[in-house]
Amino acid sequence: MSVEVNGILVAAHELKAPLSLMRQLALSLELAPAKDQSRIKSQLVGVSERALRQVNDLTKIARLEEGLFVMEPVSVRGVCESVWREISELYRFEGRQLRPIYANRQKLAVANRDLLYSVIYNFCANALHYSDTETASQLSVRDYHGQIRVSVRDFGPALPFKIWQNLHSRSLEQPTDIAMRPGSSGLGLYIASQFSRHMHAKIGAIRHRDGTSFFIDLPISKQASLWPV
Amino acid sequence: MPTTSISATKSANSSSQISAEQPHIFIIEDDNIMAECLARACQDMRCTIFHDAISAMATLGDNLPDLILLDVLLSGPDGFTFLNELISYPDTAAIPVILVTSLTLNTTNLAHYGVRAILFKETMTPQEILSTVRGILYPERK
Repeated sequence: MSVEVNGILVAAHELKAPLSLMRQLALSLELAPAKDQSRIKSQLVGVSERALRQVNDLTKIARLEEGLFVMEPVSVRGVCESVWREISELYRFEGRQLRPIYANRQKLAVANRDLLYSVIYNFCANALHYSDTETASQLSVRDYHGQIRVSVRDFGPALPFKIWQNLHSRSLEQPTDIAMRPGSSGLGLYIASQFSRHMHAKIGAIRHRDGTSFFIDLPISKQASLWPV
Repeated sequence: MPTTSISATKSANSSSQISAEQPHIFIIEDDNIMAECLARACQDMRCTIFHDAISAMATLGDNLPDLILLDVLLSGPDGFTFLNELISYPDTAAIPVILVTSLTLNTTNLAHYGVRAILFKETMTPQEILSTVRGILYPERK
């Protein structure tokens, strides 16, 4: 099967889950008691926004070479806070938590804000799916060997060794087949890989006994004059 | 393999609604929103939601449900692993299972695992969920 066809299949598979969920929520709406309706509507909005983000990311991949995504000094904490605000609601619906940890002294990285946002969002969405209940995933920013490292740690099943090896040896060239981790097509990781390559950043994963951390290392911007006050 | 912590279970119905006569259903589904939809469809039944197979299996020892709604692609051990475990013990082997999945499967191949029906996530409706559950719990009413 060609890479393109495989990619389309994986994208289609990945979008089936939110679409099925939205359909189920819409059908539930008329049966649910009045007290549940506003919660169901919020869930519908949250799930549809997640699906829209995936579609947007896929279209961005096709347009990476068009020079639309310029590199500039970006406040990494600012991006993380925006992602945290958007995705916290989804974590809440799933009965999970995402805890931000900011330990970086360097403020600005050279990146594209939109692409960085998508990378971090995909890491957080991945952690949401693979975290065990009653654990808090961690979104952390810290300085790391002259770069800024943003990492998202989940407490769930460990990443299979083969995928971990692939991440360390090279960027993912295409979404992997269904079973990266159960229920995953690896599309989010593929998107993150493509975007980080465009930003000359490095993504990787650290396997823990009780979960996985995905990270992106970003070059520090020297434009101190642009530091937020 | 990582150490997987035991998930807390959550009753979908409030305790005041639960009575001993109500059928008890285990819903094993890692997506909380989908699990809530399944519980909502099983009106007037006592539902306990598990987000992974390990916590469901741990609870099975003390508390046998009347039926299990089981997602296949779970994080950690998947639905097939759970089914294998289920048929390993005489008391749990008799529990009817309904698979809730996006995968293309058929009951013929899975009958010996106690799978009595399959609900497809893309096409199922709350009415279909309820009628399938009731059809298995109360075959005489068919």
